[in-house]
Amino acid sequence: MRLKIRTPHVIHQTIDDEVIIINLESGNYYSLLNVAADIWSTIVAGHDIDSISRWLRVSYDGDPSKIESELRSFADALRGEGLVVSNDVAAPADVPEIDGARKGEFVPPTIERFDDMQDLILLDPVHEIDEAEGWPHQK
Amino acid sequence: MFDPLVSVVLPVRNGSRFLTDAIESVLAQTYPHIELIVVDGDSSDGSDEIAQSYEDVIYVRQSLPPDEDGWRGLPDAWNLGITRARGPLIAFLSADDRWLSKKIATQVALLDRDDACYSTTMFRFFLEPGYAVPPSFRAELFGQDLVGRIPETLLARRRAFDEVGLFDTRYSAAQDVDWFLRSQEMGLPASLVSQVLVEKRVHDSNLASNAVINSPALLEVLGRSIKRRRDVASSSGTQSEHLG
Repeated sequence: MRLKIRTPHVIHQTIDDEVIIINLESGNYYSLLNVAADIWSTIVAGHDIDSISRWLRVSYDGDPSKIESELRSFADALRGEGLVVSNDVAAPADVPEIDGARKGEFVPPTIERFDDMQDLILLDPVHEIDEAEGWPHQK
Repeated sequence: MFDPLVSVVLPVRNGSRFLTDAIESVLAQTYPHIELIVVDGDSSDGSDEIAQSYEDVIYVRQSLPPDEDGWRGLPDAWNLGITRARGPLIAFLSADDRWLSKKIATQVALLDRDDACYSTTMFRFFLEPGYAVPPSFRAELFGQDLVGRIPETLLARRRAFDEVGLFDTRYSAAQDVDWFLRSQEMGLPASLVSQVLVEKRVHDSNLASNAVINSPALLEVLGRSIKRRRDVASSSGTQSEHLG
């Protein structure tokens, strides 16, 4: 099974090893660190859950069945937050190889959720800035 | 009753189409003690003439050209207005939006009652006659009373800017979101007026491309806020919820 990011309702960016995600439909925003950020980037790259699971079990120290179940619950949580959906399309041929570097002890991935800016995010109140056209925008 | 001076900062850059409406809505305020500062971002469409045709408008022209490296026109204009403001209370209006006449009077009274550092109000969107709803705009927002932590609803004590700082011109957009986040992180007491006192005009289709353009800045603003909160989280507790 593969997942895909729920664009265009979800936007995301990795800043200094931290993944920041905004769900533009709910107004919630999220931070992913460490294992969670690693998994997110492999989902973005197009890897399926099975290959992500294999990679985690190879790269991290820990009980393989626990790693597997933590990955599944993490994926369920991402789905529950409306950040990803199942992707039935076959994996593209050019899915990049997962970095095989050793990562150390497996710490279960978590999603940090913030709901304190829903009013601002839901309204798209961000100012329209286009110096060429002026404030506000004009056609 | 003592009415402290309220300085209103109204930035405009080639916004002549609705500028008169915006200015008139400030001049029509029932609150008696207001100065209106129009900060002109080098307009070439007659916005300057409109602003200067009002005797009571303080007209300020930005001196930096818009193509200067790192120059962020709108937050720069807000900041310039703040530095020019003489009042202990500062408010903001966009050149395409308008206030209801009791906006400032209502907020000044509640700011004192609540002993808050700043206040925001509810607002409504309205569609400019003759325009279609932009495709990306959530049509269900029309007719709703919306909570508005946006500059157009903001009335802040000057000390709010002393404590939080000015709008951060490092960001290409979402500088207002950043300011509200920083004020929230610092625990500045705020009050929300539960009345619609601002009307925001929807008048073209730029919201669509705008949302895409603004996304990286918004992500960066939120990311930096999370980092700041994480830095102090050990002592004060986080505002987030861990899942999974």
